[in-house]
Amino acid sequence: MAESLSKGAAGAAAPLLEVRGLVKQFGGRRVVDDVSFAVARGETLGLVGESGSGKSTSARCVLRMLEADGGEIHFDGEDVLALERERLRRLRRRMQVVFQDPHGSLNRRRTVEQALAAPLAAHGIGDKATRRARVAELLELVGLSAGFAQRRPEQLSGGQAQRVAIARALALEPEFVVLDEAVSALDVSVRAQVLNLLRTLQRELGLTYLFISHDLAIVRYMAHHVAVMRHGRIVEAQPREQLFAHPQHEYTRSLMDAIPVADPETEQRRILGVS
Amino acid sequence: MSPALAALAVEGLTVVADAGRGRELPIVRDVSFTVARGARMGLVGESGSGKTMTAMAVMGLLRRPLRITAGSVRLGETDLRALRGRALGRVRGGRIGMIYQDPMRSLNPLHKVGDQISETIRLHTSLSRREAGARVLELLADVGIADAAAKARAYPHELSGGMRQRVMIAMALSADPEVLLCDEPTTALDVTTQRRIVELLVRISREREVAMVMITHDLGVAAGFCDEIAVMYAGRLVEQAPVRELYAAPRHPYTEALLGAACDLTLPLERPIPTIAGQPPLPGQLASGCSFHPRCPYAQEVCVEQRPPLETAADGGGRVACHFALTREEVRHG
Amino acid sequence: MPESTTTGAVAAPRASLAERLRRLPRPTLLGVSAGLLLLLVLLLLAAPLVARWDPAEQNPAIAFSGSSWDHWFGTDDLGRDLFARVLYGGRLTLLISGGAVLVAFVLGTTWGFLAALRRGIVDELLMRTADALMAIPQLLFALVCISAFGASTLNLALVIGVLLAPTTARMARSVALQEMSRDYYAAAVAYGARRRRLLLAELLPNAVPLLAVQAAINAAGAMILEASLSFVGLGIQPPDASWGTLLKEGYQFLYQRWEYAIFPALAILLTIWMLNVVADQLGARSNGGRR
Repeated sequence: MAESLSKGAAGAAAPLLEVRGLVKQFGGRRVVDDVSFAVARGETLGLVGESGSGKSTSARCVLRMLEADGGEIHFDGEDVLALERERLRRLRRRMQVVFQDPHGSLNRRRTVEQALAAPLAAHGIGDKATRRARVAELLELVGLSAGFAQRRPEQLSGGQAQRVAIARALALEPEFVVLDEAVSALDVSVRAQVLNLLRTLQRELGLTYLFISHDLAIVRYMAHHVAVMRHGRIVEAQPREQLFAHPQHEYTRSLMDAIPVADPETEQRRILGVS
Repeated sequence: MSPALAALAVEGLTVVADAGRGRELPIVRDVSFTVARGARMGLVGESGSGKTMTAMAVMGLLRRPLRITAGSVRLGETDLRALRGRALGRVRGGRIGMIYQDPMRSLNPLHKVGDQISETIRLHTSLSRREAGARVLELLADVGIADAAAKARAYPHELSGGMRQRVMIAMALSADPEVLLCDEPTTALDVTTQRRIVELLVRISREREVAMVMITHDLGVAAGFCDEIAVMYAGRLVEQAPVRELYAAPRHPYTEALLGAACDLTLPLERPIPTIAGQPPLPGQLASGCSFHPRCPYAQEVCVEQRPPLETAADGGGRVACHFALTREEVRHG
Repeated sequence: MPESTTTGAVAAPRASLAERLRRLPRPTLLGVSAGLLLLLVLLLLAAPLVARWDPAEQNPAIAFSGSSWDHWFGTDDLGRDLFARVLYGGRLTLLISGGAVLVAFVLGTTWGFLAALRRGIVDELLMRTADALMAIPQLLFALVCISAFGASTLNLALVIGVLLAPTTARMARSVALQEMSRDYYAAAVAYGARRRRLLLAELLPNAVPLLAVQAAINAAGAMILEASLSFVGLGIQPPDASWGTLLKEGYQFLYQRWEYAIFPALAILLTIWMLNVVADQLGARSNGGRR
């Protein structure tokens, strides 16, 4: 199934990211077990599964924040697992990540401006003045006013903090962004805003996303291709339309059935019918 | 429903945060609702809307700088605000219980879950240690834990998130409460677990006739759980209605917007998700008139000048606080 | 409920609310004890201005005189002014303890952060060394070192600092590991921050509150160690004197002149007490800030 996905996603051009037979173990337990997927340039792969399914671990292996125990990862033709430290550091300009907890992903002792300038400084991009200008640009890009530059994380709402985290991820003009449950901690209305923002950014900047979520409804809105993970394995991978029209795997169907619908009649029939 | 029958009756509840120098920030403003025995109400709103603070106030759990300045909370015949010290302790966790989003917050990591439940039982009943132990197993089985005996011997960290939430529910049920407040009980859980916990809560409310209030920002979850929904914005109730009516025809623009922003499998893919412009206001920076007017697409001059009272809707099915509730309804039906 | 309460109570947002509360001048236990410590340090630094006698000036004619207007704490066996000696002794104690705290901070933080950053075998090695150092009785270790290298002020500060470093290292390591598990750190790794930046810009500022607590504890520990060493005769050597040396000398004459021993002892006791209060309060505060 993963095979068909990599072919499907690849289309004419080679995929930007290709993962083959990825394995990661913790204490002898295979948390990621022979996982393969590919993400085409400018598209989004949704990686769905419940907590402990290995989706985040897979992504962290791709970013080399964890060292994989087996398999291959190719990013734009480059063998990610073979990179030594300095080349890896340079590759990291091209792949970025946004995490779930908006406040946890900002250092509480630094201002928004410091947080956004840090990636630029880490790669020696620009001087103080150009970095400041870039910070303003980044804030505008994610829909925040320039006044936010001097704020501290505790002065931001969840949605604002997450926008800052997205801006930071975009600071180095990456091609590829891992969104690891990036909207799961947000309220409904804020979540909708951030999802819209992410789609706009993808369209305007030609970004490629690996969108990780436990919520199939959100993945449906965001992803072109979807891979469903369970117990460290991909159980089903299909283009979005096919997956939602004809889920092949029993588990995918159960995930779809579990999504609450904002319709009391349907919801209560489901719930009261079972109990 | 007559107030005499209500398991929980909240009247004019007002909570402020002391901001020093005699200034007070309004957190919960004049909130009233009743929940009958065995009924399930949803308290819906964004974070900062005051829904959790309402629940904490009902439980008498507010700490400085927060305090209740007005209103009453009645549990059947009992006025909770008049209770102090030991009497309050007996009611809290006894006749009224609360479960939280993060069960780890209320479970002691150093004790086996069975012992913790047993302790709660013995606190609120006169059962012996042995009897309490038997009751623990009953309760665990009751909340759908298959191998109750084994799970009772587990420590909280050895259990999955859904299992911990079940343990919390068992603990809350141990004193046979009349009212259970559930603060985002499923938000931290996977969708499939979420569904099972909602099912469990619904079953309990029916079998034991427990009145429940579920605090949530997720209208999907609320749809399956509640028979009635109260929507909060900026510390006030802006709409309250039976669940089907509210979803079919929201009367308040905020409710309408919340429903529009919800993600489910029917969401059209080609256009942006409808959102509510701007941010929820902070307690100290509330707009004049209707607090929602800066974000409201229907706002008129009157919304800036006058706060719409929470009034029984024209068709009598619920309450709404909007100057244009009626007009909008006519537009919809006409 | 009248509408005026809601519109009337327009106030600053959350953050500046906390800001204002913080600015209110309320005497806290932390403020008082830290203020007293600061006062003590200033007093010790100003010793030449405060003391009316040279601490080394002997005057056998008035040996063992009690408290008097001329000699507030009395005089010692050689007729030296005890008040001056306690003040000047305090300077040495301060110097040694301060030096030791600095050594422990720099050494311990580097040690702990390195262990946390490197993990694996380096971590094992560093932390087992720390365990080993902590397993040796402190006084014994200090005795051996001082016997070998001599009891200069610098040596004392170094040895005591090294002795306090392992606890600091453990604290630094656990703080670092905790911070490293947070997403902001992961994000910094992901955007390619170099190790030095991770250490100095991300970890250190967040570790400072807890390290400050440790520093206060260390200062108290350093004073006790210094006093113990001096008491067994391996601290500051006569004619110079630290509080520990003074305590030892006074102890020999306890039955002739109680003031001789009691004042240095009180100085040590009160300072350590205040340091512990400061450590306690700082600790409570940084825990509160963490939620």
